[in-house]
Amino acid sequence: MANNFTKTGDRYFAKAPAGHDSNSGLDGDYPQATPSNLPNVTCVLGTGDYTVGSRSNRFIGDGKVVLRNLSVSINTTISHWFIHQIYLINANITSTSTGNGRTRCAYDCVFEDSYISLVASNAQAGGHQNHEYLTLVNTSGHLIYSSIGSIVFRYFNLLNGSNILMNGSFAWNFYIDFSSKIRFSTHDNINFRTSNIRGIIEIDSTGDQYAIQDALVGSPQDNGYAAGVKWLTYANLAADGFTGLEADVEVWLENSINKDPLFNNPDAGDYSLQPGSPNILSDGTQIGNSKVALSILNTDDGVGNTVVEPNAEINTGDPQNFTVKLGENEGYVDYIFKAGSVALQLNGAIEAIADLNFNTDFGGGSEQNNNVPDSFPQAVDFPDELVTDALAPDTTTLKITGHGKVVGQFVRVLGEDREITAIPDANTITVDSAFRAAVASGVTVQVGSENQLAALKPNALTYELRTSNQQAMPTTDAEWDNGLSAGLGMAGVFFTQRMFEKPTLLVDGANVYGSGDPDRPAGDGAIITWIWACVRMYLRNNYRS
Amino acid sequence: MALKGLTYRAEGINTLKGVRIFLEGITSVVITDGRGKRQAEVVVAATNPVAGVPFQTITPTNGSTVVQAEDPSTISAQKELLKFSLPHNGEATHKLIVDLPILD
Repeated sequence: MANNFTKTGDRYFAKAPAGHDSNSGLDGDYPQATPSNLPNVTCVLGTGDYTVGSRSNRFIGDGKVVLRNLSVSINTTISHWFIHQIYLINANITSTSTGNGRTRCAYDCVFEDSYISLVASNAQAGGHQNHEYLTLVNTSGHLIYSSIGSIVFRYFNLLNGSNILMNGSFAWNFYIDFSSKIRFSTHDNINFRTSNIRGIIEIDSTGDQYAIQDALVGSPQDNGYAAGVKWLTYANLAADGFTGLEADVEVWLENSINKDPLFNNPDAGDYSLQPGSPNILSDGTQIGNSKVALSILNTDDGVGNTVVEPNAEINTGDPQNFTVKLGENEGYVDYIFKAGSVALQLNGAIEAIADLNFNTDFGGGSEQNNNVPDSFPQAVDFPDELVTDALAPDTTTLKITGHGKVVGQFVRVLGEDREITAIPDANTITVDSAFRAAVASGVTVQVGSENQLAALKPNALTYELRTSNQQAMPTTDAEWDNGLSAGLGMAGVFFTQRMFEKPTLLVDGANVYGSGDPDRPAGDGAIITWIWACVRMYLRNNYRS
Repeated sequence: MALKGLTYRAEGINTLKGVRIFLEGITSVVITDGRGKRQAEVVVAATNPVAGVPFQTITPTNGSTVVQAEDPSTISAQKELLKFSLPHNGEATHKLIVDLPILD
C-alpha cells in the first residue's frame, strides 16, 4: 500500500501529522496539510476538518471531509466536478457560465449554513451549470437563467430552513422538507417537476405561498401550514391574479407529491431512505439526495434478529447517543443482525449513524474531537512513539536511548518520513536525508513500517466486521466463519473495513485483509456473502487524522 | 502506550446512534394492465423477499413499489382473480413491469 488515498488528483492533503506543509503534496505518499490557493488544481482531501477561506481549487473528498468557510467563484468550463463528496459548512459558492460547455459545480455534497449562486445569463448556447445530488441544510441559493445555456439543478434535499430562489430556472427531482421553501421570482417563472415538496412554493415578487395538496385532506392550515398558504391549484392561482397557467399547473403537479419521504431516522440525522420511500421512483431514479439503507439503532429488536452489545467502556446512559465513558479512551459496540434466510451479497457501504462533526485540528482527547467512530488508534497500535533525549549533532541523527529499531524502518517527525539507514549504536538512529530542522531533545518521533505509515496518509475511518452463513445467530467464534474456508483459520476474526465503501475481503495466500487493513496488498477484494453480520463500531477519544 | 500530555474527556460533541447499511439491488416493481395503465391496490408478493426490508405489498395510486428480493425469487401481482408473475434473478436495479391482463 503506497498510501491510503482512494481518489486521484493533482495534489494530496491530509491533516497533521499525516500531512505536513513541507511535503510536496504531488504524491499521496507525501501529502500537505493546508490547501493553499491553487486555481483549477484538483485537490484530494483525506479525512479531516479543513478551514480554507477563498480558494479556486477543485476539491475531492476522500473519506469524511469537512470544509469550512470555502468561498469560490467558478467560471471555468471543466470536465470534472469542481467540488465532490465534501461536507461544506459556511460556504459561498458562485458559478457563472462563460463558455459553450459544462461548468460542473458541486456533486454529492452537503452544504450547511451556506449560499449557492448559479448564473447562466452569460452562457453561450450549450453552456450548462450543473449542481447535482446535494443536501442543503439551512442553506440559501439563487439560480438565474436568461435565454441561452441551461441550469441543471437536480436531486436535492432542502432541509432545515433552506430556500432557493429561481429566476428563469427550473427545478426537478427535489425533496423539500416542511421547514424549507423554493421561491420563484414571478408567477411566470414557476417551473418544476417530479419533486416531493412538503414545504412552501413562494412567488417572490408578491409573497404568495402555496403547497402541494397531493393526497392531503382539508385545508393547508388543517395540515399544519401557516395562515395564508394555499394549495397550488389553477383556481387558487387565478384567484390571486395569476391567470393563463392552467396547462402549466398540470405539468408541475403531474409527477410531484407531498408525502412523508420515509427517512430512516431523521431525528438522528439519518436521511437515508426506507425501501418503501415514495422518493424512489418506478423508473429507478429518485427524488432528492438520499440512498436506500437499513438503519439499526442502539436498541435490540427484542426478537433476536438485531442485537446491540456495548462493551464496558461505553456509556449507554442516553440510549439514543452512545459515548465513551468518562476516563476511558475507547470503547466499542457490536451490532449483530440478520440479512435474510439465504446468503446475500453485502453490496452496500456500512456507516456509523453518528454526529461525525469532530474537528481534527484538535488533538485526540480534546473536547472537539471525542467519540470518533474509528477502529484504528493511531498512537497505540502503530506506529511506535519514541522521544529524543539529547540534541542531535546533525539533522540526520536521532539520539534515543534504547530505541530498539532496525535498518529499513521509517521514522516520522512532524509528518516527514525518513528511512533508517544505519544504527550506529543502541542509542542512535541515522536516517537517509536531512530533517526539515535540527531535532532537539524531547521531541516525539514515530517509528513504524512503511505499510503502517502509509496507512496513516490519511488515517481513514474504519470499523470491524465479521460474518456468518449459518441460519441461527452465531454465538461462538467458530460460527463466525467469515464465509472463508476453515483451512485459513479465520473463524471469529474481525476484519477492518473502511467506512463509506463496500466491505470486501482480499485473500492473499494464507492471509486475509479487509478494505481498511493497513497491510492489505494491492488488488480488489471479494464481495462478502453473509446471513449474519457483526459490525463492531469503535468510539475513540484518541483519534488523530 | 498512552498518548502524553492529554486529558481525556468522555463527554463530547460526537455520539453514536447506530449503524446503517446502504442497499443495492433494490428493484422497482410497476404494476400495469395490458394497456399500460398503472394499477393501484394490487397485492404484490415476492417468494423470497429480504427479511427485515419492508416493501409496500399493496400498490399505491402510482402503481409502483420496490422490493429487495433474494436470488432467485418470483414477484407476483394479484388483483381480484387475476395474477401474473415474473422470475427475479440477481441484483436487478432496473424496474420490473408486471402486466396484468386487461381488467375492463
